[in-house]
Formats: sequence, C-alpha cells, structure tokens
Amino acid sequence: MIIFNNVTKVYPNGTRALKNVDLEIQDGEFVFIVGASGAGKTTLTKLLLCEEKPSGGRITIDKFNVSRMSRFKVPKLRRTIGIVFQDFRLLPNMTAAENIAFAMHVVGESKKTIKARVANFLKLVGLEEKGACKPAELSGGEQQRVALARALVNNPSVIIADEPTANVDPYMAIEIMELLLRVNKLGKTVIVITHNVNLVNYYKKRVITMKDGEVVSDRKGGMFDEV
Amino acid sequence: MRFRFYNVGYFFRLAFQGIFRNSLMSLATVFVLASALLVTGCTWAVNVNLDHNLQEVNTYNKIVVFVSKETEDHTTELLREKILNLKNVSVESVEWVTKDQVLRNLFDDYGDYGDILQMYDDDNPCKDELIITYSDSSKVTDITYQIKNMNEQEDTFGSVDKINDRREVAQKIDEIKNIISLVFSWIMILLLVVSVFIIMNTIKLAVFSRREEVSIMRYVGASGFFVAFPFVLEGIFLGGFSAGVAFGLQYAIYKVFAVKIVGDIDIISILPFEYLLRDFIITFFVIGIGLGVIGSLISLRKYNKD
Ligand SMILES: Nc1ncnc2c1ncn2[C@@H]1O[C@H](COP(=O)(O)OP(=O)(O)O)[C@@H](O)[C@H]1O
Ligand SMILES: [Mg+2]
Repeated sequence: MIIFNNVTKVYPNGTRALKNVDLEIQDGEFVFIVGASGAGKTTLTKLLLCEEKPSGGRITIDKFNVSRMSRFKVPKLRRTIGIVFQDFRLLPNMTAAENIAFAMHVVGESKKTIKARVANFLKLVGLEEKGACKPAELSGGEQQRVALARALVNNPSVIIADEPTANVDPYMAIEIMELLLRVNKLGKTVIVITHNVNLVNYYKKRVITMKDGEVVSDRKGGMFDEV
Repeated sequence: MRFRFYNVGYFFRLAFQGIFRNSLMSLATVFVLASALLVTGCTWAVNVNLDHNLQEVNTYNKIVVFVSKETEDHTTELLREKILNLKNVSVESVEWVTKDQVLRNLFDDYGDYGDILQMYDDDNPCKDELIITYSDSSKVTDITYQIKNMNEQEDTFGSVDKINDRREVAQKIDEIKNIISLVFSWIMILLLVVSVFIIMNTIKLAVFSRREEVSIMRYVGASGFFVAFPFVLEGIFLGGFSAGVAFGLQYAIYKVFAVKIVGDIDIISILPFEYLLRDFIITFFVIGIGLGVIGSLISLRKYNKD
C-alpha cells in the first residue's frame, strides 16, 4: 500500500510542486494520474522513488518509510518499484535482451537466473524475436515494451509509468496499455501518468487529477476531468 | 548484495574500459602522480643517503680508507701497518673492518634486513674499510696525501679504492640536506595535491561517460557499492600503475645517477638500492593507491547523495 500523508514538496528554487497531497493506493490497484504539465505528477514519482525528499508530510510504501529513509536503504526500495519513462531510457549500445539482463545483473542476480528470466520477459512483452536488436533498430512502441520488461524483470510490486505512451503511435499506445493491464492482473500495483484523454476515458479506472501541486479529484471508474 | 564471482570480472572490465576510454586523462593522471611519487622517492633517497653519510662522520677525527675489491688480505694488513706507522701525522689507531662486517653494520643500523643480507652472501657490494683515528685535524690533508702515495707504492699498489675524509663535508651536507628537503617537500606536496585533483577529474569524466548506465542502475536498485566500485577500482588501477611507473624510474635513476655517478665521488658513500627497495615499494604503492581511492571517492561523493 502506498500512502501520501499531507505531503508538500518545495524545490530549492522555491517552486511549490506539491501542496498537502493526501493519497492512498491499495496493493494491486490500477491508477491513472492526470493533469496539465507542471501539475506535479513527475514530482510525485520522484518522491516515491526517494529521488527527492518531501519538504513536509509522510510517505510510506509497504514497510518503507520513504520520507525519512537512509540512503543505504534506497536501493531496496527501488527494487520494489519498476519505472518506465516516456523517453524509454534504454542503453543504446546494448541489445534489447542485454538491456533487460543489465537490470538483473546490477542487483546481483546469477547468470543462470538472468538467462531464464530475460527470455520469459521478452516473451511477455511480445518481443521474443527481437531480443538481439539494438534500441535503434526497434520502433518506439517496441522500445517501450523492452523498457517495461526491464522494469518488471526484478519482480517489483509496483510499476510506475510516467507518460509511457507520449512517444509512441496510437496503436502502440493501446498495446502498451493492454500490457500494463496484464501486469496489473498479475497482482502488481500499476500507476500510469498520462495526458491521453481517450485512453483514460476508455479504461474507466481510478483517475487522480492534479492541478498546481494539488489533488483536485480522485474518482473510481472515472473519466478525464477537464480542469 | 550477494557476492558473485563473475561480477569481479565485470568490475575489472569496467575499470579498464574507463581507463582506456579517456586515455588522455588517464595518461595525464599517471604522468603527474608518478612524478609526485618520484619526487617523494628522490627526496627520501637523498635524505637517507645524507643521513647515512653523516652518521659515519659524526666523530670528526676519523678517516675511512676503502680498500679495493681485489686486494689480498695480507696486502690490506700491510697497508694498515704502513698507515699506523706514519710519523708526525697524529695517527692513533687503524681499525680494519671487513666488508662482511661493514654490510652487517649497515643493515643493523636500519632494522631487520636478514633476508637481504643472505642475498648478498656471495656478492657483497661493500668494501673492506680501514678506519683511521687521529688527534690533530690539521694533519688530515697530510695523512690523505700519504695514503694516496701508498696506492702508488709497489707493495700496496692499487689497494686504496677511495679515501673518505668528511670533516667539512659534514656541515655542507647538513645545509644541503635542509635546502633539498624543503624544496622537494613543497614540490612533493604540490604534485600530490595536483594528483588528487587530476584523479578526481578523471573519475568524474568516467562517471560522465557512463552516466546513462549509472542512472539506470540507480533506478533499478543497484547498491551504492555496485555503482561506485568500478570507479574506485579505476582509481586504484591508476594509482597502482603510477606507483609501478614511478618505481621503475626510481630504480633507473638510483642505479645510474646515485650509484654510478654520485657513488664515484670519493667523499660520498651511496647505499645499495636493494636496501631501500622495500620502503620504496611500500611507500609508492600505499601513496599511489591511497590517492587513487581518495580521488575517486571524492568525485563519487556527489553521485552518492541522491
Ligand atoms: N528539480 C526541480 N527543481 C525546481 N523545480 C522543479 C524541479 N522539477 C520540477 N520542478 C517544478 O515543479 C513543478 C512540477 O513539476 P513536475 O512534477 O515535473 O510536473 P509534471 O510532471 O506534472 O509536468 C513544475 O513547476 C516544475 O517546473
Ligand atoms: Mg512529468
């Protein structure tokens, strides 16, 4: 369970990116976070990953008290959260398979485990044929699926996708959403940050709307609020 | 993090990649750090040798005659008697110290070097010494002159290798020593500080060339150790390699400059390189690797914050 309790974030330059945010996301939920550019959506994920510290309030994820975490514990926290970015962030000099393997290698998995799991996850995202391709040889949608496989491969309990469909064509956007739904069915909490009105309205999931650092609406089975 | 043997290979590969990817920076690092170590080594070698020379001079009323290597024992004895029998030059005694004893004394003075002694058993680099005690220091020139004559006389021909009269040399050496120590210490400190900065920048550059990888590593939860160690290892390799280069140069300089050139000057006796070897190796590698670690840790500090 993810809990934001009266969380405020003021950046060193004085920008108030989050103002008294209260939020609860249950295990296994699927949540859209929407809102205009600069509303504070990315800041929310940065706080979850302990990339930034909140200026006030309290954030907990399962047993982790994220708002006051020693930096030695941060890697443990990050292994429970998989993250997907709008710009994919694949390493260009590695193949799709190597990109996925890299995430396992750097947390100390054995070669044997890596080999087995990488093949499985390439299959899960429908890219078993493309494992040997470099990112430059893949379409945007394919790259995003590799990124999703990389986020999933260490078996996190939460997946955060920050505008995952912003750089892919509409057909691919739907495919990626379908994949995220499948991941959610596997029992993982999925948080999708997006601008895509059609997708949000189509899936009828919980929608949290943000504006100027505040949560302005939070509805189950909701629609995109034009605010 | 669980220990995996194949990670060791991975760390080494990354460290070497870092070194060769920014080869110019690596070269600069090795150049400056090796220079710093070399200055350190030379300062220290000069000081130890000066001390060694001064120690032998600490009683001013002594002259040491080094006996040529090929000289037979009975000729040495003859030489000793001839010096002892010199008239009107205030010679009080002439003590014959065999080269084995000289070597033993040498290493006794500087701690436990038992194994090195054994190394020299067949090939002792020292020479037999005749230590002359006199009472009137105005006669030193006279004594020296007469001993040089003996070297030309038939029965003791070629038996004198060199004569070591170090009265006024003692004060000179002391002055020189202070100046050298001061100048070299400053150069040394300066170079060591510059070395740390260069290592810092080299590692910063290495982190920069791998910034995408590092950022992904952090997002997927790699431990701080896993992220940082390749860079620290790079610093260790740079430091160790610099130490190796410095040691090689130090060896060459010592053998050629100190032993061959300075060692030929009559009044100075140079310690064999092997006697300084262990301290050189330890000093160079401890400083080199230490600075490598310090430099890389400083430049990683900023990355470890988030
Ligand atoms: N590192 C930062 N330093 C200062 N201000 C920032 C920083 N990151 C984001 N901001 C500001 O905080 C606000 C929220 O940004 P962000 O969370 O990225 O919004 P969103 O992802 O919803 O577009 C914006 O006004 C943005 O300019
Ligand atoms: Mg954003």
